[in-house]
Amino acid sequence: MPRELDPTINEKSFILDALNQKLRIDGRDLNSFRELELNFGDDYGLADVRLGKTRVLARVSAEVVKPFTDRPFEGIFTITTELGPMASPAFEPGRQTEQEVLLSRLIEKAIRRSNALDTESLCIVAGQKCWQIRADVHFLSHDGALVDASCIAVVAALQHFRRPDVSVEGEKVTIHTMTERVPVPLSILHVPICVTFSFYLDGEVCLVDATLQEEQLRQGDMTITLNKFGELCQIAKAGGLAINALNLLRCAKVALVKVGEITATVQRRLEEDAAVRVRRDNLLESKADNERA
Amino acid sequence: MADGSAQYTDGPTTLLASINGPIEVKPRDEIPLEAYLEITIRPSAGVTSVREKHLEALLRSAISPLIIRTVHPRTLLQITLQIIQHEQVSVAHTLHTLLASAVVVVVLALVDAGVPMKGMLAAAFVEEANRSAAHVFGYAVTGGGGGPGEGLVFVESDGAFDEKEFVEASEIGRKKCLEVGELMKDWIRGKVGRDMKYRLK
Repeated sequence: MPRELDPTINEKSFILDALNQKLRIDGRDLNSFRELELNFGDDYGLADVRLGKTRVLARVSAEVVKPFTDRPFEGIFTITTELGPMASPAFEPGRQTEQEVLLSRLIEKAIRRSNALDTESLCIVAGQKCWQIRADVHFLSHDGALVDASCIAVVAALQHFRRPDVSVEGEKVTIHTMTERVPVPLSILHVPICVTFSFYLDGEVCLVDATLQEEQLRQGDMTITLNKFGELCQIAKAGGLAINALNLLRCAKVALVKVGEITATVQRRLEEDAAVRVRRDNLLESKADNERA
Repeated sequence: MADGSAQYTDGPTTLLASINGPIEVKPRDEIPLEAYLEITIRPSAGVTSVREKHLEALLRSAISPLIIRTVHPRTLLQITLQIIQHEQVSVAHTLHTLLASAVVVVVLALVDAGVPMKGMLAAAFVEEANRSAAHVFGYAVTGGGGGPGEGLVFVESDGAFDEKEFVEASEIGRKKCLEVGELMKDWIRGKVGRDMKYRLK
């Protein structure tokens, strides 16, 4: 498989020189994200995130399974990430690269291990039946910031998803179809958002939402995961340039602002989608206070 | 980023195809006189199953005669198809509805990637009224043999049917393919118009 082409020496010196003057080649501010575009599918639980030329799709699906024997009161939540040749020809199908392992572990830590999804609410009959929620992340186009984009995609898809309603009578479990009963949203405890910082020129310059070219030239990176309340879920820094405490604090402050903005955008898009859905599926007429014919 | 791509929505089905190529090929897959064609289909939820593998094989037989592979010997042409959404309800012939859309989207992506081809193929899904049988017809809409719509180049059928039913279905399929073919040409015209804007002045 071909390797991702490294930027040429000219490109490299140009970009780094510009960064030295606090300029980015796409004209963005050092601390600004590319425009975030978030779309939902016709089905529940499909979120399509575009961050500049990066495009990530997350699909959430649910299935009834037997819970793990050591955790009979909890449902199961899994996140699958697979980098394929669609994102970039450098990714071989069916073979995990180091980058892919790091990425999936980061997402896993940010969302699953920070308890964003309340797994106890997924229990149907203790020790017998529970929901398995599965989030499939598809990378459609790679232009940097895959971690940030996929985190947004997964949390948006989780909030958008509706699972079929269930009723339990003694031993008998009934799963109602989507038309029979209004499907129920998942119980989301908080919305974690990842912000990745890239460091250049021995830590003097620090960027958010680096493009692929900027990512290839960076000396180090760090991912901070927060929710909008400022609760820190993780700081991931796997090697690279050492940064001092003051820089870290500065990054954390920037991250908090960014997380607030992103959470607000996701919320706004979810509300817009819900409004369209109500009109399209004619749910307005299903209200009890309508006039009778 | 891929060399060419296309996204196609037909009713409840949305597919995204991307093409990389010609690129470096693994020595194991190298073919001395032509390009190696790699087709990967990825489901929207869950892992690749027999269904996707079967669809890959059908898609390969539909489009590989279309590509002039001898132009780029000892290279790789990578086709990735992502199913974004597809109605999973119990329609009898789901695979065939997918196949028709898959052919259209892959042909469009190939054109976008500038892969040398003998012509363009449009495909349509036709179902018998009682749902006992379903067909996917692929007609050459440019180049290839004869004028537009004359050349039936691909058929995949499922279920029980007789000759009369098949001929009727193929006629419906031909009309649908011509319609789809016109749409495909329009999209390509639009895309070329946008891409080549700087030249048209």
